[in-house]
Amino acid sequence: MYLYNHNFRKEIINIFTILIISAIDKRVVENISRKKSVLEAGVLLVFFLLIFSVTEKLHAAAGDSISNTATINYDIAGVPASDSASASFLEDRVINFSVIESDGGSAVPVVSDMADAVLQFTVTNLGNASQDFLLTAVNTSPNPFGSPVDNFDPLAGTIQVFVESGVTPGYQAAEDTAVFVDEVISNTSRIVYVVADMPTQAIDDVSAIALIAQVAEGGAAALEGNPVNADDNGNISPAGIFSNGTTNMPAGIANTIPDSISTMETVFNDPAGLNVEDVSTDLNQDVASNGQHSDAGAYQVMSPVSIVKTVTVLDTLGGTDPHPGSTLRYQLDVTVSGNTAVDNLVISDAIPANTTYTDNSILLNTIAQTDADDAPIDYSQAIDILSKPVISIEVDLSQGGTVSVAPGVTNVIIFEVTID
Amino acid sequence: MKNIKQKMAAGLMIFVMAMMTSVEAYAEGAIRFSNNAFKQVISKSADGSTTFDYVEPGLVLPDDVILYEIVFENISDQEVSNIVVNNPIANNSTYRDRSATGDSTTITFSVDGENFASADALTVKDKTGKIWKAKPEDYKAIRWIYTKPLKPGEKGKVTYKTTIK
Repeated sequence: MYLYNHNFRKEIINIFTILIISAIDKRVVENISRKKSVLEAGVLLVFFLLIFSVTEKLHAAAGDSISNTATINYDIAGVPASDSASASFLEDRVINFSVIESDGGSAVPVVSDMADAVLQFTVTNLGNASQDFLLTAVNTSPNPFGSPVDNFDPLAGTIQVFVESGVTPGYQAAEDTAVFVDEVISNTSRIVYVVADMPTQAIDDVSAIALIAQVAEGGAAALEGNPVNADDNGNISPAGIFSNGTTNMPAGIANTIPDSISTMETVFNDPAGLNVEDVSTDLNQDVASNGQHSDAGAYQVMSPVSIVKTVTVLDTLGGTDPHPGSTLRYQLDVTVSGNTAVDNLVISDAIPANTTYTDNSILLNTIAQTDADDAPIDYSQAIDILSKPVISIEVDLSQGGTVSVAPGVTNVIIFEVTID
Repeated sequence: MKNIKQKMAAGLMIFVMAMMTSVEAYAEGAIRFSNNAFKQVISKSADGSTTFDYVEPGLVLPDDVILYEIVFENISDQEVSNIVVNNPIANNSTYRDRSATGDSTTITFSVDGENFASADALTVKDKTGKIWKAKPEDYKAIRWIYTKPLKPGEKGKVTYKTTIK
């Protein structure tokens, strides 16, 4: 079973195979590693850039009277005189906005049976008036990030959408409770989360989800505006159910209002979805100028356990030259992701060819471990320590099935070998 | 007595106002002055040529281009001189670079509505006090100085364009 998500920007620094046995997937997988802290810092930075982004070009409010008065001064028969003349008209309202998945252009790793798995999107108002945006998330396909193909849906009835409150970055169930985007001024953005429960799935399985935003009237803070489901140029929005099932919007009724210099007309100018997985609430391809726009993200099931493996060379002369006799110190940082604790987590690592295990060199979280299979003194061992050569080391992080390994905790395993 | 004084004062006021009104009416009567806004509509025909049409600004959205056309016509029987047309840039609008036109005029611009200079000579000061050449989006007003007298029956026209913000 090869665990590999090609979209992860990760550094693969493992040198040889590590065996992971976990109760959740009960699979043997190859090691995948990534610099989690760097990724998290990047995600945080992007988050702040998005939530506080206000572009320089702020569109004026629709409905403004644009008025201009020219004056003329002149002399006639030596007498100064003047006159003035005005021209005015109304600025009309253009509705334009973007919906962009904001998980770095890759599927979000989730764990089988995970509750509240989160996808992140950004909704940006590109029109010239403050608007509310109604939201809904739907199953879609194919996988917006290519392969593997979309092959499962979140548990029925669990897909919900919430808007970032701005208090704490990232989805916080207690804080991010708004179900519509409220009062987005021109050229500003809001973060939106799709939250869903995962069924029991195999590693690598993918579920694509489209977030659809529907424009609604702004103007009243904290109140969900009425959807704008028709413009004044004959364009309409398809019917849809928004706000986690609480708003049922009928399809718009086409109407065409003559252009006038004294009334504000509304014009849908939202773009079409570029990809087939971008859909409107009628589940057809997202078309231009219908007051709706969408983008798709995806969940991908992965092992909940990630291992970052590094090696340090310590030669006999105090340097770092890997010559015969040099010591190779391997460090395995084992982290559980997702939001579910892992049981029966045993880490195994084979001793590389042309090296010899250094007796009693296993450290777990800086605590020395014995090589013997002597639980409950400790839960680490060097396999074949009695018959030699040692072929692998094994650390049972679940301590004989008595302990669950919580997500977010990193266990550090170190052992040493010498080059033959 | 008091009553008569009041009546006299009132009468004087009416006379003065009538005089002022007549002077102004005469002056206004000398020039027929108009200011019209049009939306620029660009259409491309099948042969690839581009046509610019200017229509009533009934539907105006951000990034639309507006053409302002200001016309002054001498409808008196006397020559009119020292004609100056002043035009602030409208709200929600940005002046489009090099769009101001006007035959027999000297065109200047202002970034504060008071001090006018040619586009090349106009400057703005940033927060640190550094002086920069003004950009078209900095312009707050345009002034056309008509460089010759306008004879009876003659007409002058100045134009410029803005972009809607």
